[in-house]
Amino acid sequence: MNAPIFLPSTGPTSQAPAAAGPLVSLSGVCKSYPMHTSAASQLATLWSKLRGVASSAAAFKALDGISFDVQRGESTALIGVNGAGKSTLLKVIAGVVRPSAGQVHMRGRVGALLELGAGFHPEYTGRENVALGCALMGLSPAQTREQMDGIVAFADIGAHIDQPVKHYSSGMVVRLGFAVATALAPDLLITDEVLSVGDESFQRKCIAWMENFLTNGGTLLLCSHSMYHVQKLCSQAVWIESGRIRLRGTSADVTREYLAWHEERNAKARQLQPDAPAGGGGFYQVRSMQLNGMATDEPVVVQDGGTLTVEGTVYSPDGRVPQVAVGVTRVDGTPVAGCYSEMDGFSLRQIDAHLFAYSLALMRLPLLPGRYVARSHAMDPEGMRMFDHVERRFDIAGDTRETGICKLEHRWS
Amino acid sequence: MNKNPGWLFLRFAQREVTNRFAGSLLGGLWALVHPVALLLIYSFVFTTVLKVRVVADEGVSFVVFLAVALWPWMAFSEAVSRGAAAVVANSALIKKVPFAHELVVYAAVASSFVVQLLGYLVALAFIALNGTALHWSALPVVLLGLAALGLLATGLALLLSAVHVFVRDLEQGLAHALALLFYLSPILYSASMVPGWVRDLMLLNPVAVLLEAMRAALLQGQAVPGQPVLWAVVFCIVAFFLGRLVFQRLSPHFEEAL
Repeated sequence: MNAPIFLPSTGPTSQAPAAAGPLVSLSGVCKSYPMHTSAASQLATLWSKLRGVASSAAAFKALDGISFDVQRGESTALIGVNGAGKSTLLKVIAGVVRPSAGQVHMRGRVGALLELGAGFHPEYTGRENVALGCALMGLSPAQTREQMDGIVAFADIGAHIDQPVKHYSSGMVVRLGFAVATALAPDLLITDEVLSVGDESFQRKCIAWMENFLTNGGTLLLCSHSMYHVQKLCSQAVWIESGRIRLRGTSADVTREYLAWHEERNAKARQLQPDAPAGGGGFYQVRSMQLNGMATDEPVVVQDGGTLTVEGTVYSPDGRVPQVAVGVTRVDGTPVAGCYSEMDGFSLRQIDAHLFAYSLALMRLPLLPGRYVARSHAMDPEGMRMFDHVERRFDIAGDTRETGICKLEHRWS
Repeated sequence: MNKNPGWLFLRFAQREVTNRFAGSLLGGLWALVHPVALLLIYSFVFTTVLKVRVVADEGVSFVVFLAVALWPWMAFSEAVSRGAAAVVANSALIKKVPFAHELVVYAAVASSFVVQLLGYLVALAFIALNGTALHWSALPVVLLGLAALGLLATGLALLLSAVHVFVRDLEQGLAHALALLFYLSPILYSASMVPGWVRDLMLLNPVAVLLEAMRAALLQGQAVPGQPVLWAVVFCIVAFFLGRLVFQRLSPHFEEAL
């Protein structure tokens, strides 16, 4: 058997020694998957691939013109709903998938952890699988021998390391898989939702390793549904929607927008908010409303701890002084707070025969970053009946990592 | 991508070899059991039941006549069938880890040849010890034949394993095609026994030409290969590069279809 076995690798990524410039740069990356309805169309696709021409079969565009750079040390998270193309994009960057169009440039060593323990063979011992895993990652025999003890120690599965993997618990498989991944010491580590593996103590070990990796200048590219992980581990985030970039920026900004979008979508799905028409009629009615002086449909941005001023006018059909209630809810409808002019003894300012004005300042807002809605409800002069309302959205900006709706004054001791 | 393809290939090949025997009691001995059982069955059928005097002009027993061609055939057919299945069998790996996909095909082919050729060595040693004179001087022809069969098997395995990803029917068809090729090649019989026009057609089958040449070399000491052998070798080389070309064209698209 004398077939040559040393073939040049044919991956989509080109590797150059560490140099100036972004660690990863993607330009116009597209990936489409053919959709086959019949055996004949499958054969036609095969034939077009053999000839090296574009297939005419219907295709599903998983990625559609993705361009962004990942700078050294700027860990980046990909977020988006299921099926948005995050995993495909990670696979393209990892070199498992070749893009249909566009370029991927790598400057540095890439470690891809698309699945922990991928390629482990059940009949082999842990140690033998580690050897193959190291070879797959490109370690030489000498490097593998060097790393073996460290990997075995990191996995910490005791005498099981010399047992066939088929006798392992699923937790032990991922421990061994993560341990193999730690051996590579890449410049860029690509992971697909594998941060929380194993039991409590092993998770701590993984997080500690990850933090050590990041402080030593490593760069992480991960895809996660956990906004907590995204904000904790990544400074940048890319929001992918239907194979395109919807938003790029700091992870705090992108996760806020993403969560707000989610909340809005949920609210819409539940049909909680019938739009309030501000038409005429014989009722008490909110005629205008501004947040911090703006009356746009776009959310107004308020820094956390800042002030939100809600102003507006209320129409009174009989010219008596109406009351007004201002409520704040999360964008999904969860009530946060309500202020009533009647309770506070505030009397609206008359500006003409039927129109009354109010202004409410909410100071030192303790709300956590996210999207909220302020509503003004017109009420009768007795403060008994609530009529229509007008609402405007606002965003609280900030980098806090606390969770919930509002910030509570607190002190640890 | 991987900087040590040779090392990775060795790991894959080692895994292929131990894979087959891992967990079994007899281990590597199974590699011998299958061809020896075939050899005994065919000998029983042809010499005891049918009493066909197949090898009057060869001057050796039917078992020896069959054995010298059976093991190279086993190596070839096993390499093609295992190699053709290699990409689909390793789909979990191909979908998750970047590496040169052809390595799994090379590993399947190489491990089949290594296992079967070790059996061949044992069989040849056994034959020689039992008093049949084998012509060791013609060994280069045997090695040339094995190398050419290896190239052909690699080329076919590359081609078939790549197409297999997209056309899964191939697995069913391949077993039948190999069985057909077994009977169409002069393994159970010698090319001299078939009618002239069939023999001319047989020259188009490189496997037939190479097996005949290896048998003639070992049993009759025919140390200089004829022109058909050289053409067969050229064919095998072309088949290898053709298979590699197809594989390289299709390999980037494996992930789409696996």
